[in-house]
Amino acid sequence: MPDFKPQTPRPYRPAESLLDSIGAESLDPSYAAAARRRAVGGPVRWWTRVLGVVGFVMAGLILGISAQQAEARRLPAAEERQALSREIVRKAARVDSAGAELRALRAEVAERRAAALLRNGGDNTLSRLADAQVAAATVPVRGPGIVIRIDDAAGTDDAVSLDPREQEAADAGRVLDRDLQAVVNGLWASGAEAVSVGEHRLSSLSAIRAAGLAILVDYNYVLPPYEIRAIGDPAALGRALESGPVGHQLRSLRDDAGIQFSVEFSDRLHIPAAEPAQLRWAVSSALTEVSPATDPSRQGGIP
Amino acid sequence: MIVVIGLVLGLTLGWMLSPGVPPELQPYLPIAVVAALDAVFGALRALLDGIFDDKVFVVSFVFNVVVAAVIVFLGDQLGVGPQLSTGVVVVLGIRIFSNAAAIRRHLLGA
Repeated sequence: MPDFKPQTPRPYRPAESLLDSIGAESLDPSYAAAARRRAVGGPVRWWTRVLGVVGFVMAGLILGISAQQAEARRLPAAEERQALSREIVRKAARVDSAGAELRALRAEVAERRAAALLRNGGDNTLSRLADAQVAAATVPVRGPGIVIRIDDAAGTDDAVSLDPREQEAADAGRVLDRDLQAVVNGLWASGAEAVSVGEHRLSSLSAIRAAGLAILVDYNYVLPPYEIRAIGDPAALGRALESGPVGHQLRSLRDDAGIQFSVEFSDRLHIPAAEPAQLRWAVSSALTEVSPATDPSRQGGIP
Repeated sequence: MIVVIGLVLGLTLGWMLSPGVPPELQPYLPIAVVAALDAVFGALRALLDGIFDDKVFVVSFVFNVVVAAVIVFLGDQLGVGPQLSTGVVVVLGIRIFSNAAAIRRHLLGA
């Protein structure tokens, strides 16, 4: 049993902070004590040397084993990553080709439908269908209209700062999703029949949102300078820009935040179709037979 | 010198042989690594100070590894394994830095 009597009176040391004492004793005091013993003259046995070497070998062993295991863990992770990225590339190519096939099939369906409607429904159905398609943004459209290009204030770069004040200053000149929404809504209100942002056609289900610094139209990123096209009566659209809320909004953005914009009128604008939405509520108008489209719980069906 | 030979020998052996560590001991390998590094740095500093002693090295090395493993084991039993492990690593890390600074002063005189 160790006796708990104090052995040698220790010199009083003022209490050190924990970190200080860890740092101060980082070299094991036993080394100094052993050195003192050696200086006084003690036998140095040969096997202590061997012990020391064995100790170093053990330390090396531990380090070597750990390093080797870390290496072994890295290899399969890297292989997995590579296999995944190859898979992604392959599947992306598949998606592209499936998309092309889909577009070709849709074009064929539209042709046959037009032919069938011409035969059965007469001209009226066809033109009603065309109007509905324009409104639903499922077909590309051509016509006169305007192109508005909006860009961030000059000197706005993409660097993100961790200081919120700095970031706010940098953001002041940035075009926000709100701004694009206001312009687009103003164009709709002034009689635009088809609107696109970037190359993306806006449908009644479209959203313009911000994700971080980027602006998303539906799920597509758009980058500045943003190009907004609207097909409609050029005179009405022009008036909206002169004296309507759209122009007011754009001009105040320019004056307050330095946002740049330019307007161009054109006789022959082309706006692509939107990605078709899924049919949920559509019901066929001529019930000659029970068709799957009459079941509202089934998505998709005969357009 | 002999110290370096011993270390290198151990490293190569450990890497080449890649002996399987029994799964019961696996969780203590990281802490053993840090304790080994601390002992090695301490030995190097003692060597440069001229007060190296083999027995002290081996005893302190083995003892530190065992104590560190016991602390981690105790922590696991008490449910504070990661925290205690972090504490051990912090303390050993401070010692490693402190010894490394002393070695630097010896080698570079600054």
